[in-house]
Amino acid sequence: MRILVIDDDDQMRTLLRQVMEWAGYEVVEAGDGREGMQKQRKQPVDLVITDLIMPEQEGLETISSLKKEYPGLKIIAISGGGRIGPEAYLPAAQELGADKVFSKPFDVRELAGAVKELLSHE
Amino acid sequence: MNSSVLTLGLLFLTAYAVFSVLYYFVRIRPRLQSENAAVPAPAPPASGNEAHAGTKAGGTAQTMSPVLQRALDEWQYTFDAIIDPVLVLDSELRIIKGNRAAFQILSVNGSAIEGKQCYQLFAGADTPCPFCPMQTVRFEKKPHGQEVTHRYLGRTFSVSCSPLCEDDQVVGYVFSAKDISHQRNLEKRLVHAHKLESIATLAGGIAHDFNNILGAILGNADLLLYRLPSKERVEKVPFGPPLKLDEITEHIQAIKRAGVRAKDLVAQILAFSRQSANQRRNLLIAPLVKESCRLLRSSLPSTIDMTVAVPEGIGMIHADPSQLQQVVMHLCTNAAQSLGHNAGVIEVSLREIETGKAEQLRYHDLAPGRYVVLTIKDTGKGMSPETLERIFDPFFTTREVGKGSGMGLAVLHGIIVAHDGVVDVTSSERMGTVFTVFFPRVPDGSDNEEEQRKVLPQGSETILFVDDEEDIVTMRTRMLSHLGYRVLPATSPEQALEYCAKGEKRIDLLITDHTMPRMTGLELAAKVSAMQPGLPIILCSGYSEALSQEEAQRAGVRRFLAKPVDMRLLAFAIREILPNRNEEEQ
Repeated sequence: MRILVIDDDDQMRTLLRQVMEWAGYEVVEAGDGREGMQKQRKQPVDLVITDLIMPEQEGLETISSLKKEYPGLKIIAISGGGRIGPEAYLPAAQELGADKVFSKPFDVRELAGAVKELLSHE
Repeated sequence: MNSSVLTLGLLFLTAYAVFSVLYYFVRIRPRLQSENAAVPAPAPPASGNEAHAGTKAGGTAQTMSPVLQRALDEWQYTFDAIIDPVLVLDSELRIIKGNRAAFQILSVNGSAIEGKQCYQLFAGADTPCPFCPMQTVRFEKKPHGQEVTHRYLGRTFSVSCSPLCEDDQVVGYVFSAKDISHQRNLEKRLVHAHKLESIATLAGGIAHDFNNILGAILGNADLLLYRLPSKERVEKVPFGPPLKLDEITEHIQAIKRAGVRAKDLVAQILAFSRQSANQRRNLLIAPLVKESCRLLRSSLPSTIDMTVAVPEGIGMIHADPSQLQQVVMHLCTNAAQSLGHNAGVIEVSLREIETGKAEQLRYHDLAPGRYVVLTIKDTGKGMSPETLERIFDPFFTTREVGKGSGMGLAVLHGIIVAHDGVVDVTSSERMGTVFTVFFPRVPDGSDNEEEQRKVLPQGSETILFVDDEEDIVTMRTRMLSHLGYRVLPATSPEQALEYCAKGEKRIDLLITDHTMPRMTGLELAAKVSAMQPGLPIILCSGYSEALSQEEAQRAGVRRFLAKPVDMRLLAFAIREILPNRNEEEQ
């Protein structure tokens, strides 16, 4: 199964790839929401993990677009927060359709477990 | 309007009074005294206000015509009406005459101030103050002003000093000192409060970065822990194959990279939260603007699109990095507030310009020259002409109560002006606002060194020059060498002490920066003085208020020069100090 990881922070994106590969998934990477949308349209994945605050297209906008175009797509939102902390951004992501949300830093096992759980319903 | 008239009136009265009193003391009194040498000098005053009254014209009344006496009394009243202390000094800095304000601030238990050296009363010192503008006035023979903090009196003064010349020789000085202690204290508190506001904005960006860094450290460490084989876990590993050696290295390197990022971030926070009001140095503005915008990005609402256009090759400016960051952050935050919850764009850009007639016509305060221009443009709600007129006024705000002090732009304006910069704003309602800030660009190299060398005093002594910034040491070594000096360059206090300890060749003068890591310029001066007693020392510093004059003198500092140090002043200061030393030795 394929997972799209969207994060502008190189180190975080690499970590997410390693965690997902460790969990046995194929990973596609994107540095922002716009690139993520392009990759999804080119070759759709089974699940998307997206950061929320990014310089180009924001995570919230990306989640909204993804859910509009791919209503059944599973999405996990992660955030390190900004001016008002991750707790202010993550509920908005859930409202827009994110299936699970995680604050950075997160436990990699919990994230891998959440992915497995979401994809097991497929 | 009224205050302008009053100010002009006061200035006129001040000038008139000073001139008249000077005329009397420099021209009339010596003549009267020589004409009537038999008349004894007035007896020293007894106490209190009488001491001051005794210095008035009354003491010489018996030698004057009533008309002259009346004129003199009128000038004395005017002189005393000036609210700032004004002193007339002879060439040895002895007080010939002081007004009432000077008497009130300098007199000890009501005793007369006339006849005493000004530095005794201002600093409780036996030698002239190293910070005194008089030293510059003596060489340049033109008025000079400087801000001076006298810990002895516990006050900060804006001091101005003008020479009194006869046959092109300086025979005395007129010295006025406006007490600005209260103003400086308020400014310090205000800048601090504003910095706290900016730190709150910055905190959002930093928290975001830190969470990413922590995520990388903890995530990689977890991956290692979960995947490394162990007796207890060998059967319980939930996913994937066991780790290979190169994967272990990769995770450890990722943890290290995240640690380095955290270290840089901490250095950045510390740089921003530094208390010092002014640590200006030559710096590249481009990376600083880019980094500030990157941090801000995370704390701005997602509806705002931020673009940063910084072309290659933008030159250096002379600035305090933390204050500069404060300017960028505040202007961007202001732009974001102007956009509110609406979608919009903030464009941050840098460029270099050479000011021509068009710029000078538009920006009246802009001197001709090369500038680095920072522009912050938003597509927000803009401002009415009435608001625009008042935005730099303290406490003016259009925000709701509790959403900002209204001090931000006033403080910012102060910072920009202190950097010899100019700020311009254009705005129209519903169209957005553009802030344009001009900072003088630092020249790449001194193009007129040869010309300078010809007009500046030269010498052949050995100078030990210390500054922790290599660029400054290189530049100064080149300049001083061109003036004929032998220069021992040192980029650290330790290296300077090594030169002294070697004692191979005589060092005639130490010129040192004050703010250096591990050892301040003052500490270095004290150590060098202990090794080579009597060695004259020039201390260069960006912020004089942090230095106590008493400490400076105790450490052997003979002159203080404010950074950025003007080459001409430095050249004259060297020649002023070195011959004195020869005289002392003779």
